[in-house]
Amino acid sequence: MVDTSTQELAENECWELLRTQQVGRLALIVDERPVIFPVNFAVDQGTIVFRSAEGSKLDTLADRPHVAFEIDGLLDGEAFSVVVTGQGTEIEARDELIDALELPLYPWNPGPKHHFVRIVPESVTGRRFRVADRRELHPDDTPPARARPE
Amino acid sequence: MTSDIEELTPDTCWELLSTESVGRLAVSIANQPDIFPINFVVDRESVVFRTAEGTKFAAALLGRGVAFEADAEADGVAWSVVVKGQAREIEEMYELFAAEDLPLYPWHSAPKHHFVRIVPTEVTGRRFQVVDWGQLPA
Repeated sequence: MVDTSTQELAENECWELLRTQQVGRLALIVDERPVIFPVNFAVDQGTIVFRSAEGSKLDTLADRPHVAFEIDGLLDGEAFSVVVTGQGTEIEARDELIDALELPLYPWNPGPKHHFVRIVPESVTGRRFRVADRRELHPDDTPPARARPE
Repeated sequence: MTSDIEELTPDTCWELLSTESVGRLAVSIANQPDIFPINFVVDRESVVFRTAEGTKFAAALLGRGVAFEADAEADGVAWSVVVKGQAREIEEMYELFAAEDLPLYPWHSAPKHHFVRIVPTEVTGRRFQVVDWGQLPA
């Protein structure tokens, strides 16, 4: 039986994985509802920095700075995910902006990118598990049997 | 070669979503955002996934507003789709049997007892040619 037990990752492993990715997803609460969108990001000394043109969504950060940020992927048959929760603040100080421009932050999106945001983490958690081969779970390649009403 | 960002129609969004099996669900827990990656399947213009009973995740999302996202990049073209809607547990027996027939194979083999449907209120998506940083002047 394939072992798909979940491994909780140590924080340093989470940061290692974060450094391998270029795209993550940001979630925040806007008008009391969750919103989510993908962003290009870079790791910067224990923080996450991303660029975004989603100005209207990011305006809410001033009042509601709590964000969640996520990456996930598949590496050598193992699925991983890392979630960072923390406070997001727009980078506005000129010297900080200049430093942010030197980060290896290459937005894929060709549109204008006026906002640099730094996420200071409050929690960093990650998981890894071997992906269950569906043929091992369902060897006849049919959905699992279930009782039908007569 | 265009460098525009294409806003996608809902039809195209659902087509693209059907090509992915992992997405991320954003929920609000005590007014704080959280994100969970999930295995999902598209079913008649809604998103269906499975979840274990009694988890923090289940408590946070059932009957609440959620936002779901999937994205991919291939051959220099990237797209992303976001579905906003309400998460609803699939409880009606006929719906449940239909859900079990869906090609929904969670990567994680732990037992998953509940099927959840995101009933969409809004579907948006974007597609664009990925900027080639190697071609920009130094």
